[in-house]
Amino acid sequence: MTVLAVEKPERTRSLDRFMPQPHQAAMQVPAWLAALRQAAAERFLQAGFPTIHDEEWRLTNVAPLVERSYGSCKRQEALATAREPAVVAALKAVDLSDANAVRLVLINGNFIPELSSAAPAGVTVRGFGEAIKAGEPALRNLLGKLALPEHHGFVALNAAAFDDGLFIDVAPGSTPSQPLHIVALTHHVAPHDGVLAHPRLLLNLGHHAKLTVLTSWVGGGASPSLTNPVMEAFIGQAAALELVKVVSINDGDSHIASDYVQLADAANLRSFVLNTGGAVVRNNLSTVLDGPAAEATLNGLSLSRGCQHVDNHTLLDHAREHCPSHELYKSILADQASGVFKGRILVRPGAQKTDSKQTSKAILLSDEATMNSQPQLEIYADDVKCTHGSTTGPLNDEQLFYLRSRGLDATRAHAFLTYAFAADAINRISHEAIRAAINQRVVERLHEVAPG
Amino acid sequence: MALLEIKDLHAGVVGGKEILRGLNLTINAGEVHAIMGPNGSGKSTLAQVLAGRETYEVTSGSVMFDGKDLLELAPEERACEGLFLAFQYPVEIPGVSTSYFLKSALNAIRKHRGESELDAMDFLKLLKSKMKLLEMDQSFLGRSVNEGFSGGEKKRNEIMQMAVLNPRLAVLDETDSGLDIDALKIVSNGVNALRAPDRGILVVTHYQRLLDYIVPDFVHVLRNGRIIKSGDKNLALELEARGYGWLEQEQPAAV
Ligand SMILES: Nc1ncnc2c1ncn2[C@@H]1O[C@H](COP(=O)(O)OP(=O)(O)O)[C@@H](O)[C@H]1O
Ligand SMILES: [Mg+2]
Repeated sequence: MTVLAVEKPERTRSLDRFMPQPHQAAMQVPAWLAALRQAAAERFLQAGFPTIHDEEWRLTNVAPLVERSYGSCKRQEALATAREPAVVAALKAVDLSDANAVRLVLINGNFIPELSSAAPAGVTVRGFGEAIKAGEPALRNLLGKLALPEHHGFVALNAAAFDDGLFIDVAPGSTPSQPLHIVALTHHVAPHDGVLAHPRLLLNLGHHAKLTVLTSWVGGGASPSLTNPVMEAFIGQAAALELVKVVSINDGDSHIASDYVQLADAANLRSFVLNTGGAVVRNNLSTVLDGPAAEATLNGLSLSRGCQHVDNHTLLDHAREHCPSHELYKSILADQASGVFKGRILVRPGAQKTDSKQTSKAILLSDEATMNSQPQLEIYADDVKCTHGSTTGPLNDEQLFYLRSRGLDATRAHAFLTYAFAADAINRISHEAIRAAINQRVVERLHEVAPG
Repeated sequence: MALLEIKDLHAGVVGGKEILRGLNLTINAGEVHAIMGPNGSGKSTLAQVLAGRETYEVTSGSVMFDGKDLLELAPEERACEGLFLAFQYPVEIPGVSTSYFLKSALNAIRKHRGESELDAMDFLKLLKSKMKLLEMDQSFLGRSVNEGFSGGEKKRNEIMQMAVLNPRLAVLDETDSGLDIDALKIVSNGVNALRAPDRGILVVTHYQRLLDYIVPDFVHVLRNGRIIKSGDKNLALELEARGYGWLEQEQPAAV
């Protein structure tokens, strides 16, 4: 403690620059939120950012990201940048017109209704400022309930510093046919520094509701930006949520996300993350199966090249009995790219009949690419089934030969196998039009990662 | 000119022991040859060497295919020239649909031959007719290559692919193993449908049973990487009755 007291002043000073200035607040902050933010700020100033000396961050070094200086870009500026050609292009790049999706635009964490479509019946979509004005009880009841500042510095900083967010509430029994497509852009105005954005999302599905949400993280601008989103999703009894996330930010930008999902009894989560861009990408996904017979499926696909680093950290917290969970994470790594998968499965006492299966697979297209896969099983119940497996290696010689022996040349055989490897994960996306769009994106990206 | 002419072929695992030790074999167009031999005699090695598997290294000898030096060609070039191997252990390839893969393969071969590529409709028609020939369920169309197939289904899938790709020389490596009697008949029908004056077939098998259905013109016995005896279909029957032991004393036959 004494040691901390001595170190604190210097550390606090260096961390202070990440704190928002009071006059910048874009929304009216009620007392409950002010208290939440204050606590988070204190926590952040005390704990700082995680370092490679923290077990959970051993393989992902964020020091270069947080030592840089960033600017901020508030709502008014964000709206102004929305008309810039580069931004218009970035927003258009994510085309989901086939899916008849409801587009919701976030720029640097600010919800931009002017660029967004109207929510379908049964679904409430509001920026946080709006939601607070409207006195949404769910916002107050749920915000910060899953994402705790003590988890790590990025979560604390997000809570302390977000200045808008997206609140989505689905009424009980509502099953809108249109998916929501959140286009989240991190963008800065030249010649300023890159932006540090803290987007915040809160999703609440009433019982028996059903929703599909695609979130596309895109980036623009010449200087490196850092996006630090936090999402909390609550899936009510027998409700179902499909979450598809695409990280296709610029190669110089980074993304450290902390997503939390809580499932009530018989609720269903199906998640898929596609990582294609970025210098450092870290996806923390914590899922708590908090009611009997809830089911979670977590899938992911990373296509990395150059010096990209992608780290998927998942937690499946089996808090209740009779819950199945399935997990498949795949990576294709070229050049000097590095990948991390850490899958923690926690089976709490009483979570009998847990049935959990975890698989991590990686293909290394070069000798210099690396993958680190780690399962972490903590089982405190006796009548459970938990399996995990991981494979890492080059493309399978036998499969390559089989394809070539049928007449496909080596290049095409490679392309077939890398695509096949990827498709195995893509095919687990339920929503057909989104699956097709993701597939298209992967095909294009594979040409870059593993040139045909 | 022979369709396939293997002369004094020596081959083995790269950096390992020699497995084929001076193998000679000539197959003319229109002929069906059977190679029989005990486990470990080198049957699969021969099949894989012909198809161009890089695990094996040819140390001496020659293989001419339709007048071309087969050993100079990459595996895909061999396929394009009309060589087909039905694998003893077909590999599963999750994520690649059988129909998409096969369409690409067929079109690669057609392109090589200077023929126009088949469009999706024509290909599907062809594929369906060959699946019918092998009595394969339509549900296989959407499934990944061999994924979750039973041993018998994999073998059927091999012959179905052969029927679609229409090779000049088909090498069938233990296509009978893992098949029940009904499946054996279906697969044999598929192979027999391909018998033609301009085509050669090399059937590699451990048991005589398959040769009741695919009746060969010539039978060869492989032992320790060499053909030690050749004959007609009656040789297979004799092997069935007497086993391989009696051949030990005989001189290796030149073919
Ligand atoms: N890839 C390989 N690596 C090591 N040994 C091999 C390999 N392939 C074949 N062999 C050996 O060569 C011999 C012949 O094998 P194979 O050609 O598979 O025989 P068959 O098909 O007649 O049963 C066996 O002793 C086998 O163990
Ligand atoms: Mg064999």
